[in-house]
Amino acid sequence: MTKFNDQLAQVQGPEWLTAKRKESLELFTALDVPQENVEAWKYTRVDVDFDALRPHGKRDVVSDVSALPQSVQDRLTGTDVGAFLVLDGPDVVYRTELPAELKAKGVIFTDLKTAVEQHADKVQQYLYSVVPAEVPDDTTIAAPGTTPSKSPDPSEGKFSALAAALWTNGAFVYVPRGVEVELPLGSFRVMSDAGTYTATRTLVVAEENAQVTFIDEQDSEALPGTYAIGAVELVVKDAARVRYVSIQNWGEGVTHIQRQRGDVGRDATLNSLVVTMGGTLSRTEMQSYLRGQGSNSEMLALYFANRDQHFDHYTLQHHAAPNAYSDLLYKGVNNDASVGVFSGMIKVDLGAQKTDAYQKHRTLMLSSDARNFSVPQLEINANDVRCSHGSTTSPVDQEALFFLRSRGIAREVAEKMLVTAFLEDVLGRVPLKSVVKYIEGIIARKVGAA
Amino acid sequence: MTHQLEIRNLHATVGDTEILKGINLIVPRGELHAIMGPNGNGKSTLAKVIVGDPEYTVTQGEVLVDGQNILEMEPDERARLGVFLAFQYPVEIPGVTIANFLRLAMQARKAEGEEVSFTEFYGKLQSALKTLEWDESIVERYLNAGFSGGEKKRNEILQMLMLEPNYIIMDETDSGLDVDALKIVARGVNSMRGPSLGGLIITHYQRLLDYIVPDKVHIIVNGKVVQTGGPELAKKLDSEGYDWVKELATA
Ligand SMILES: Nc1ncnc2c1ncn2[C@@H]1O[C@H](COP(=O)(O)OP(=O)(O)OP(=O)(O)O)[C@@H](O)[C@H]1O
Ligand SMILES: [Mg+2]
Repeated sequence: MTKFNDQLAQVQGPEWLTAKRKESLELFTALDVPQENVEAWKYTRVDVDFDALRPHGKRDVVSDVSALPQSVQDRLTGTDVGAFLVLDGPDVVYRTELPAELKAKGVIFTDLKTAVEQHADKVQQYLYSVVPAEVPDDTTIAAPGTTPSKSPDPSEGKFSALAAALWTNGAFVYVPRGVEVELPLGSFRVMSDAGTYTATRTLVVAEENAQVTFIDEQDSEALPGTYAIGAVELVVKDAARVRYVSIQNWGEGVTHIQRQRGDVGRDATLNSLVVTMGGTLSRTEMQSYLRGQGSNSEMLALYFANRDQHFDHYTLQHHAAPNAYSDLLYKGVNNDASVGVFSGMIKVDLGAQKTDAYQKHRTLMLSSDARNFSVPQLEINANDVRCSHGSTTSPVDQEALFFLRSRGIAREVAEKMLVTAFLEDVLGRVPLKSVVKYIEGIIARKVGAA
Repeated sequence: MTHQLEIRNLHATVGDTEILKGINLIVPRGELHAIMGPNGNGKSTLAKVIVGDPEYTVTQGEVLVDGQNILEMEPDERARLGVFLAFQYPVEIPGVTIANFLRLAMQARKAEGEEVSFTEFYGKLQSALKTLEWDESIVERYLNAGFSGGEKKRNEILQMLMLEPNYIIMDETDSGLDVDALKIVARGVNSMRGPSLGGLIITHYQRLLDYIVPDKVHIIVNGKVVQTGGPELAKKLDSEGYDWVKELATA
């Protein structure tokens, strides 16, 4: 672990941050990688030799798009984001500026390292407030005398502690009160150094009644033995609206572990979409902490796992206030010898009356060698709530397949159409044309290669 | 080559139950034959067996399309040979737009390396939509998802017009249609009628046959054709019901 201490010395920052990093590294060192006996990690083992890991190499800043990797260039030509950052490994290598008119309104979009220097007060106020180093304590508040809910296992904070201690950079978005940012903002992350790790961190703050969309994309070539550890903090103040999209399309060999969490205020809305396509092992947590009355969270995901990919999706809908609404739909395809894990928690605190919480997980199994583990969990401590959860696993619909074939479409093509349709269904709920088109392209490539 | 659809002594089962018990039929191209008969006697089963529904097992007999036995063929091969079933209960496929589906179905009929051109696709589509009095926006919708019964039937005819089959089988396409929709559907079918089109029209009602006048009428009871006649046979069924034909089957 002395190595991590060396790395700690390299990620600079003001005193408060350095202290926080140090403390997080101590936590990281003290914790084990979560084992099978930890409910939230029951089906996913991360096999990592931290001592052998070195940080991803630094890459030079480029002044022109044409100097970026071809895949990034291709991606950038098709995007309609208002401004973006490109990170290669630990740091930003290219960026575009926010339109002047948004800057004039006080919107901030920059990288987190710069933000620490230039907007210290804001960063200090919110950084680590939603995704701290340790696992957030989502123990539900129960009526006196009733069985208290299970507290999280400290080891669930292993990777978030690493991301808290050693993050190198990431995006920072700040939208002042009442300001609406029309075009999405985005970060395109790539990696290019096999056998390394990167730790990144993103912070999005939407003040009261503000609105913003943030797209967090990850893409790389095959990179054996490479780790991407991330944390995404979404602060959604009262009546604010945040849409967050993460698209994980790392190359083969990458282990992706990212905790994404929103703190949603009164009458505020958080819409999330998680897309998981790449990497060899992927653990993506999406958590909505519905702090305010009447808050709202839509949680969508789609994934397609093939070969030996192992995708673990952990979700939390924590209702801490009355009259809040959460609606989750996760749809996934498992082909070949892939593994899908879905752990979906619905937690309703004492007093969170009139909660509406829905959860659906649908899996399409294309191979008898593939496996799926679906673990929905409910902890409900209020009596006037509407909650439902359901999980289904099925093969391709034979009746639909026959219908398509009866019109002359060959079996192989028809199957691909149905797999695509199964996933597209989720995209119908996402009003982001250009992003949807990009995702459709990824789906098509993946389905075609299946 | 004999240009006809010929069904020879066809037996089919679902599970252990025999449903088709020796069907014999010949429909030359240029003719449309009506198939009538009481509920649950094998009309839809016959239709689905012809197009290769894997739910059913053929235990005996042949289905010859222009002289070629199709029973060993995959459902998509049969379709590409020009056999088309307008289903009694078309499936809903959310996520697949009608436009995309039609394009892929047309593409499936092309030789390798040959693409459906935009003009070919769009030209056909325009004319089919016009015949069916349908707005173009319909093709951006997901296949039958949330469609009314009538819209689903109209969609079957849209596919038929786009794919230009040689043999059509219409399974109660008229049921659930109001008079206006019925006329539109009939207009679609009649627009295709001609010396190269043969087919079976499964129906319970004369009202469809007023618009699509059949060349022959066959009655199926208990998995067999028990009576064949001209258009007047359908009229008789309409006024007298099925009781007398049921007796024919037991006779
Ligand atoms: N997939 C199936 N599984 C079990 N039984 C079936 C299946 N398909 C058909 N049958 C049975 O076979 C018999 C014939 O059914 P079929 O649908 O062919 O009748 P039909 O003549 O088309 O009736 P209708 O006029 O009501 O449409 C019925 O008893 C039906 O229940
Ligand atoms: Mg029927």
